[in-house]
Amino acid sequence: MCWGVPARVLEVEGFEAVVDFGGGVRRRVLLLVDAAPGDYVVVHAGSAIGKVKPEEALEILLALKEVAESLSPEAAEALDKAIEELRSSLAGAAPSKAAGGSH
Amino acid sequence: MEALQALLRSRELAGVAVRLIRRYASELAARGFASVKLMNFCGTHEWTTVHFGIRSLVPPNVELVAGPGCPVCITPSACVEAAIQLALDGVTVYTFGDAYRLPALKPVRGARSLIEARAAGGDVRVVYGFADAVRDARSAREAVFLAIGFETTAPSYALPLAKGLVPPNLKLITALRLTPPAAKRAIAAAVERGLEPVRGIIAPGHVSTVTGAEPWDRLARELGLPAVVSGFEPVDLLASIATLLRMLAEGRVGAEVEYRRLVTWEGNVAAKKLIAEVFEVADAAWRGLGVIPESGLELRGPYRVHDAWEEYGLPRPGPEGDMPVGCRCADVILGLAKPTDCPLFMKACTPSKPYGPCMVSSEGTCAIWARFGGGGLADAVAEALGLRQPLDRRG
Repeated sequence: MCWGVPARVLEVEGFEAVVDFGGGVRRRVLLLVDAAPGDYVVVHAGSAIGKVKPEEALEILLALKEVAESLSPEAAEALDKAIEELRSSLAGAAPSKAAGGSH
Repeated sequence: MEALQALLRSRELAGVAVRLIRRYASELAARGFASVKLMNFCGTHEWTTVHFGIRSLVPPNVELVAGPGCPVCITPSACVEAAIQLALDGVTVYTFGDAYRLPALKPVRGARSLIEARAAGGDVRVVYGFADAVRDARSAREAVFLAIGFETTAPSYALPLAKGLVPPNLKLITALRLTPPAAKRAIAAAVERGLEPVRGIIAPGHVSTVTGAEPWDRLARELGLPAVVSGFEPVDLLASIATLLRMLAEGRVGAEVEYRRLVTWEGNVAAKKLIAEVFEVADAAWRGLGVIPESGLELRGPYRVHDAWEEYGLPRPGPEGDMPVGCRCADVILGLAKPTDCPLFMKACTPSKPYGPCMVSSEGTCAIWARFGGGGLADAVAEALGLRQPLDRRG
């Protein structure tokens, strides 16, 4: 019931937005957050309840890394790789964000 | 977003988190914690736990238990009975799909659920959100919405009401409930029954998106426990479990936020304002649990013109624990029993023919276990054959 699904905002009209869940599924939802086209939101029961800040996920990985270094070199290496992947996908998100806003 | 999801489901990261869990769990075991019970309060956390097999990844002294986390399961029978009665009286009834099949304790003129009321000629419409009903109700004469949900769902009702978008013919059968008071009740229940006490709180990420982490911090400090507000990917949950164990090992209480990409300390301030504008906190009945003080939301002041209870003079849910005979859903909701402890589970009560409320909603603990948990057979066989191996080598 408190299921939330991430979706990309396509259009904003007042307190409603059209969002894209991927796979061609689009819906009109209520907007309970400040969001602009290109932002990701989590949609629950027809409302966008929060805006996703993917860069915050980095914090979790960095916190895990702090302790993983004492676990094993492989664990630390796995985290380094994950942090790098996330950083580059976040950096890559900027141009696609602009593209998302243009149509 | 896809890259992030893939990372939070990756074997490497899950491996790191599992190793951390094992490290802190053995530290706690060495200090005499024979069993560490952690409770979640969200059906989606239970879904992640079962779907990704998280229980098989934690050491035997860590027990993951589902608490009250399914709004459909705890919606009192009186709410369903009211909706059925109105549907049979010619009122259009809007409902979420989850509550469509929810059985009432006693049939109303032969109908036990909204689906049966519809079969009997009632105008019952399943919608995706309240806003859909607001749009559709402009064409209906008299209409009600079976307004269930936790804090996550409350602002979806509050926004259209506060903006004056809801037509006067649309009323709400309010059944909104607040999670921290129920969490407190479930944690107390384990102690009252003399069961292993709950040692840590896996706090619900989407409830907290609205409320913020602060209410969980307050509850955790009051109870002297650690709490972690968790996301819903397997690595989110594993990292949250590791953090809880670490907090226990370090003797820390209060809340931390793992789901920082969505949850802040103060939550969605605009949504909270809308809720406070439209609703007031009231004592409320929970199916199977009775009345919990200050655990519900009722329409306030001018918004009462949309109150279906008042409009139709319906009997409000009372303190009676309204569970069908033989059903252990009340204990399952409180985390006192597992679905497999119920003699009806997967026998007289199945997802296609649910007997108790926990089998109805896709977020109900029994329905989740029925769909993904193999009915307990795999666990029983694994235990009998001594297959629950230490997992060090897999990390």
